[in-house]
Amino acid sequence: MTSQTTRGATRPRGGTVRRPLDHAERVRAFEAEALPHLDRLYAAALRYVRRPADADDLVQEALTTAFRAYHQVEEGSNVRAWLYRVLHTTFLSQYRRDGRRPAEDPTEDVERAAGAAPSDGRRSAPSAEQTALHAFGAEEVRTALAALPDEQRVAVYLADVEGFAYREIAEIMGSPVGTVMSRLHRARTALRASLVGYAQRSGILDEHDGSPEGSDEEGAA
Amino acid sequence: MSDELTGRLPRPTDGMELPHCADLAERIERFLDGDLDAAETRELDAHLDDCLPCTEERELRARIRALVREGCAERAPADLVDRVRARLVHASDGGSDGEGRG
Ligand SMILES: [Zn+2]
Repeated sequence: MTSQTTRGATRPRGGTVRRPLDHAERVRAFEAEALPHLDRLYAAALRYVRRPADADDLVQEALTTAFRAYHQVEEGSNVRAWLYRVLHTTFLSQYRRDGRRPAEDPTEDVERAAGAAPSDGRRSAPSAEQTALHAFGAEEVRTALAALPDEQRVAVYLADVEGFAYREIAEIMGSPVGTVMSRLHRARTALRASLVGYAQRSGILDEHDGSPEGSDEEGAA
Repeated sequence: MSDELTGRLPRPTDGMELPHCADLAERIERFLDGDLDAAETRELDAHLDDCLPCTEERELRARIRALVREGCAERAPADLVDRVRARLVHASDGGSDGEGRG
């Protein structure tokens, strides 16, 4: 909780031809641009901090920070990408400054993800993997995502869910484009191995030849 | 006129996966990420038309992306919007008084 004083009363008047927006107008303009993205920003925040309460805080903090800088945003610029940039930097400053790394907090339900270690070596045929992947739900994917390093998980979210281009992700994360591409590559390799490993352990995918064991009567004990 | 294209991406013969198919994984990845230009997309399409393994590879990777989207579709708590609004009302906006620039 910050103790902001109301500065509107002391604002100097006149001097410019165009009447500057007052505070309420700025709030409305910002809300119109930012709030439609609230669900997505919240989902993104969950990729950073995982716990719903922390994601809630992070989004509030990021949007407040964004609002304070909103006057600097040029018209016609990519406000959506900018909001994710602010979310990213807010996470870095709020959660990393004091050495806390909530996204790697091992006390969460990620432990289940520990079992999802990539299966080594043998690769199964794409078609068998494809069949296996149809058995997955959101929960399995979230568990596999949770096992990724922070930067990889965030990059995958920005690419797959938000559909940002490499260049945009690079700007949001403050990383070179090449770094973003290699993060995505490593993340997807790990994600695939993790999901396939899960499929093998649960009997959806046979471990030895990679062929699917379609029926839920036989495979899943 | 497509000599150059087919030269760079030779077509696989029946049932045989040519070595370069392994190299196409990266291009499939960039295709799904929307990073291929028109010429690269045409090259890839021409190859996929004749190559089942690469087509399956693309579908698998597309499926994993779809799974990620499904897994990350959380909605914000219903009252988050109100809490954000309440904070904005009291937040200084740094612009109306000409401060905070630069
Ligand atoms: Zn191929």
